[in-house]
Amino acid sequence: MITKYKHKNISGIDLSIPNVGVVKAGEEREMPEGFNNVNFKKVETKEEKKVDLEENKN
Amino acid sequence: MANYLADRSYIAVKPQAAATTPIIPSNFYPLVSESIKVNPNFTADRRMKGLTWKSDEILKGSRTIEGDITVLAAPDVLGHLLNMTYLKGTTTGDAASGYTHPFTVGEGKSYSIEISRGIYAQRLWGVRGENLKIDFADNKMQAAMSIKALGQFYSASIAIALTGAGMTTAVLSTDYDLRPSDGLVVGDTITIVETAGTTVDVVLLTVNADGKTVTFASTAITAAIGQPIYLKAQTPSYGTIPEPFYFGNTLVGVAATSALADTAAASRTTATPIYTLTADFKNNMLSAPATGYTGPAVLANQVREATISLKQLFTNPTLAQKWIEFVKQAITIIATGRFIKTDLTTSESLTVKYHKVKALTNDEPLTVGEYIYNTDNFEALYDSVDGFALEISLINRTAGTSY
Repeated sequence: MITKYKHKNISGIDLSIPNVGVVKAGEEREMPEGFNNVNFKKVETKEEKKVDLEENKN
Repeated sequence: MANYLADRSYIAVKPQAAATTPIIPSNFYPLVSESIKVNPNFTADRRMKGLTWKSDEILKGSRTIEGDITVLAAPDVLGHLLNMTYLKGTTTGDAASGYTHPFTVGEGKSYSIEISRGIYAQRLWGVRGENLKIDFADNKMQAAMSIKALGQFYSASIAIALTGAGMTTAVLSTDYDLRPSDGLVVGDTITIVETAGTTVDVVLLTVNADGKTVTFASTAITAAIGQPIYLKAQTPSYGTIPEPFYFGNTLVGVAATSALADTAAASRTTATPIYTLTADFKNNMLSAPATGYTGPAVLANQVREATISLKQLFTNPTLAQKWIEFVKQAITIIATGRFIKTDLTTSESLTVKYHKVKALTNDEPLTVGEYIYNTDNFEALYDSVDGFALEISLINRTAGTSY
């Protein structure tokens, strides 16, 4: 499992972030390094590590 | 070394629950300019020490934190500026029709304001509006706010060295203030400079009541005494950014009474065409130094006052006569913005009612090649008949709970 972080818009309204775009209310989005905004909550997400099947065959 | 363009800056604001309780500002607005300064009022130490040179040290005076913020007067940000200047009454309305916020000349709310300067943010807290000036620049309404703050935080230094793995606490130097962490809030991200070019960000878990200690999750940090820390600038986030009020969508009614001025301002045919308009609202705030505080202990309105200047084309000597005989007049200004309701029946609007004004000065200067203009500078007076000097009403898309 790989731990990643996303940021959830907790403001209750759609917000526009410079150089990111509009993030809908409640939406979780990966943000650029150093993102810091009180209207967003950092949330941890787990993703399964992808297995390279071709490599396994060999 | 990195350099930073001012265009990437922001202003963020939020009303505080109490004057001395800072909060992380979450309402971001575009900024036109600002000139806020922390002035420790340093002076050279002039005690006689056997020197023939003026001084070998400086000493602190009473600190002031004040300056100007200029924004385009869009309906939502204008609500915050009015809220830190005057007392907001009960908001009525809803999201579909717009919210109506009435303001009278009582105490405004204290705000936390954050302005980013490159990588760091300066947070001002206990901010109140000293003077709000509204005028128009190239058709756009501008609001220039002179503010005063009880305190601020942007940078400090490490007082006790951080020595590697498992650091959870930072103690800040008291060289600037005996309570250097005042202004920081749980949830703030602060950046600790380990060495030039190497930094560590930590999120504050507590801000100790001792005014100098903050805690954060266990982090490996190596920073010597004197290394700087600063409040990390937020990444700005904007809801819909509304247009400012426009000169061309503003009507001014001038009449003998406030009720008649309201009627005159209701349509273009009865309103008075004005060529320049400047309105000034002052709180003459108490901001005296007090024991226990390096600056003021409280910021509170003293005697309120307002002036308004109107420039119109000269048609006859009536305005000069009203000035010289100090005749009472009333002025109502209605600036209308975008429609809010989908059936186009309610709009953003700003209404300012001066119940009684008298001209302090009246000028009709002559310039070759130009029409004659009449400029009146009015003092806003308390009207003992209506029981008001001034009433302000703002309709926008922001719920009253945000103020």
